[in-house]
Amino acid sequence: MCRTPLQYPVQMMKFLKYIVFASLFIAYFLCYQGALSHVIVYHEQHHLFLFSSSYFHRIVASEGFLSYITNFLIQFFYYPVLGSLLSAFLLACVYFLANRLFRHIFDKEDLLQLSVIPSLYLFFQTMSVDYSFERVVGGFFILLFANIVLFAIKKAGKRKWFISYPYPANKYARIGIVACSLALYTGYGYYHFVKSYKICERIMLRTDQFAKAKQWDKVMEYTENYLRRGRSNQLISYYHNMALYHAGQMPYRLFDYPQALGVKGLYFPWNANSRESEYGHVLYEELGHLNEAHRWEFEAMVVWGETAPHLLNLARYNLAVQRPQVAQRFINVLKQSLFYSDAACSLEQQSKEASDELPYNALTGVNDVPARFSNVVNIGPELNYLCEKDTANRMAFEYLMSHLLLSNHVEKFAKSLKYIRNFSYPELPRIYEEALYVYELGVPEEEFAKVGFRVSEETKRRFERYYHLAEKNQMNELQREFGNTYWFYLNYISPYGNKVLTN
Amino acid sequence: MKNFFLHIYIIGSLLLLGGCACHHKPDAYREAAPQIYPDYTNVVFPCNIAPPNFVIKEDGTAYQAEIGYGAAVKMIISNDEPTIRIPAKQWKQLLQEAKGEDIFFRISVLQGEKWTGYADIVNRISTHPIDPYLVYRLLYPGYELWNEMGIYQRDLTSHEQTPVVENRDFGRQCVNCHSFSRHSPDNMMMHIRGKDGGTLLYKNGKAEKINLKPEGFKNGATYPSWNPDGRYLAFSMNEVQQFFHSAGKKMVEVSDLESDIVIYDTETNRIFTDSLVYTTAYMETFPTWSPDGENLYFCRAKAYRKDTSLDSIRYDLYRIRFDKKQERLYDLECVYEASSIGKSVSHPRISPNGKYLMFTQSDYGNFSIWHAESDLFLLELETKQVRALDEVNSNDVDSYHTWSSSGYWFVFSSKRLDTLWARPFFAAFDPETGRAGKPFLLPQEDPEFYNTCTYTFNVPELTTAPIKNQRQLLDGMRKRAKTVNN
Repeated sequence: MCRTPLQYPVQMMKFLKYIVFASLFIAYFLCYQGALSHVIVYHEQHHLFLFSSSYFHRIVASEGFLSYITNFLIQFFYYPVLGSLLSAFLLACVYFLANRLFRHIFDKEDLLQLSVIPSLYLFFQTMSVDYSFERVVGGFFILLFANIVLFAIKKAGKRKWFISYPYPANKYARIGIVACSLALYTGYGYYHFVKSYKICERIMLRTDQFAKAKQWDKVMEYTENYLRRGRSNQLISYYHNMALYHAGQMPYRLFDYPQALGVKGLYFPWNANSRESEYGHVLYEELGHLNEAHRWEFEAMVVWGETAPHLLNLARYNLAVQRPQVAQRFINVLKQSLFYSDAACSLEQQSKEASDELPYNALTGVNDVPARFSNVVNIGPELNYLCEKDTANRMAFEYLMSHLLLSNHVEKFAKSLKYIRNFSYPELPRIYEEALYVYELGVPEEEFAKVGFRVSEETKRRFERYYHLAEKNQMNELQREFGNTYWFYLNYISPYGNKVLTN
Repeated sequence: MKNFFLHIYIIGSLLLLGGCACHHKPDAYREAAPQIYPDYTNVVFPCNIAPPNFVIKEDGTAYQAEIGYGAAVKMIISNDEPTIRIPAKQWKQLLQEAKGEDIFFRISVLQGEKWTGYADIVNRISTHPIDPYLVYRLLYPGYELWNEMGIYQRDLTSHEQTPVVENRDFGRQCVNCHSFSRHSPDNMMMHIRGKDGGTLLYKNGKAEKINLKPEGFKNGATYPSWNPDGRYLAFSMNEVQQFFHSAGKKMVEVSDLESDIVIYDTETNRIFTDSLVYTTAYMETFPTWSPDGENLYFCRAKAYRKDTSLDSIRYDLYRIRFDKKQERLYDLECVYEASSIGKSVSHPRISPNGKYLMFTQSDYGNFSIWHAESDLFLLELETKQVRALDEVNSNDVDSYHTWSSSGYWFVFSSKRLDTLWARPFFAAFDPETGRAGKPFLLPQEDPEFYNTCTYTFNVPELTTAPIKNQRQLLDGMRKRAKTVNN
């Protein structure tokens, strides 16, 4: 039997709820796989479900049963595709269940497709990582429960839940209303998504995720993407500088972007900030200063809970600093999870035999007598200490140099430059030479001679040109030619003023 | 219907048979006792302790534990898993019957096709009960930040733990230093740190919050001790700071930069002190009263200066007399000069009979919970003889201790299980000889509880009754802190 073209929409109306459900599911899935992929990873990294009765009792007592269910579901976000599927399914189900609820209450189809609204609302909320996924799960279960109750009541035939609802008799009018409503939601949804999409949040979270996965080329790509927009952010600078080190570019490209935060672009001085507590350990782990990395990671666990990244890192650090019993406790917790039990078993194996997969401990064998305590607000002394105790620690050296340059401590920089002899740089890096020349210009010849380095004629000529442009106040030209030099940083960018500090 | 009941009967019978503790006679014997965890071997249990569930650390496919005393086996527990959970009712009965006698854990393990019997594990049941409640704070053994924490009480006669206060109920503020007068929850206190900070005092059925950092005092009240009459509270007022070791296995050092001792009169809401214990030349801390309330013991070190290295601060044990009538402190005396042997004293606590003073000794400082070398020591007050309590000490931290009200038991914090988390250990004590028994770990329903517990047990205090006024305490916390009369 043939259908006329006008019969297709009529036929489609019968399957409308399935079509909308499928469309929403696909749209959500694509979003979570693409522009919102960071959200899925973020939630997975901030929740951990454990298969243990003590976990059940603890979570139910402190956060509630819904939280327990949410954590159960979020564990599957370990595979981002699965996480996207699950999230998209739950949100699409919210539509479907709301639609069915509408049907139960009004005994008619939802012509205005109002049941799309809760689903869209919840989806928009999940665009920010600060939004608890618990509400999506809660919404799903409330609607499911309401449907079951109404269905049971109707089945029992005790009451018809009809509420009067204007319903056009003409089927083509109905099709038109539905089409217009869906077009409206689609248009508004697209507009709202684009308008409220937080690209900076995405860049920061993706950067953080790549940094923790040690994908430094990706970190460089994302941080440059951010910095190119002329923005400034401590986390981005922190990771960008780390990526520069890993690319072997720190002494050459430190000032490619304005270091307007000074030394705070290098590290997070400890100020008991719970948000920052998640990031500090990365630098100290890279430096091999594991007691500090452990401190930061432990603080993060206290604030953010026993999640897999914290537990794994704490186990790794404790193994690396020869505290296997402490590591074992964290391993034991992880072994109760579905997706991290293998990693936990692997760490357990590493605790039994020497492993080169553990973090590098720059202070192995250092005797803590007399006791030495870390400076948690100023990384300078820590970098000095690392350079003294671990002379092959190139990262500590480059960070020390960068720290002294960014803090205007040119004299200390010149005196610490001696450590460079422990490494095989082809020649004195350009930025170091620029700073050294600043020092040379400020001290007597014999004092400068003690440093044991010379500044090239080329650098001196470049400084003449810099000085000439600065004198004439030709800022555009100056910035174009010398914006990435230490001289420009010292004169125009440094948050500590344009003077060299000696104390 | 008849068939239904028949099925129920058959299934029930099968289940009963399946769970039946049938006795398996060993096919072979080993001379050594089996390894069990926690180590409940050769210990003395109080006659009211909860079942000491344990795990058999021997390879096998099935396990059997016979528990009894003398020649009588009072219970048989069989399991495919090595976990032995002792039925509470039968255990209680055993404790009553075997008071003052040895009990045995007779373990057999199915290895291959044969049951192997091990030598009996022997423990003793004391005739003395322990105070039935242990109050402690649970928190992460971390550094500076905190999130969730609470003070909990554990019924030592069962495995039940109940919250006293949890900081999720009062803005996630820090709660600490719970202290009781004569082990009774009728007179108790705790500090709250945070935006609504203060000291919560519960006395005469009333809970009120007091600001114990009055004008003219640089630091607030910190470590408390109740005078036995329940009227006076001695406090040290400390400026405490954390430091973090750059290298090595130690993580944290908590050090006082200043501390002095004051006395708070709960009846007049007044603070007083004396220049002998409130000095700039010394730091005085951890006050503790003698049972007669006439002497106040405390730790004292030279004052911290800018050039003082933290590992050179060492505390000696001092005593000062207290004249209650005149509210006067006088006659200062050094009781034990630990610094002369390069050691440092903390947490002095006197036994209820006034005969012994137990303290923690470490290499330096006073926050011994972060010092692996910390050990418990016993000072006989009459002879002033000091000895290490080797019968309870371990290779790791052994620190904060509390006597039971009878003096036959004490509880202390030890990190011997894993070097980071403090766990409560109990030991029997003979007030006549001053000897302690082998310590045992606080029993849990799940004997492997401590393997995944990432909270530390802080400030274990024994009480003679449960705290029942949780609501009142919370209400008190929410009140505005009362100022102290000058």
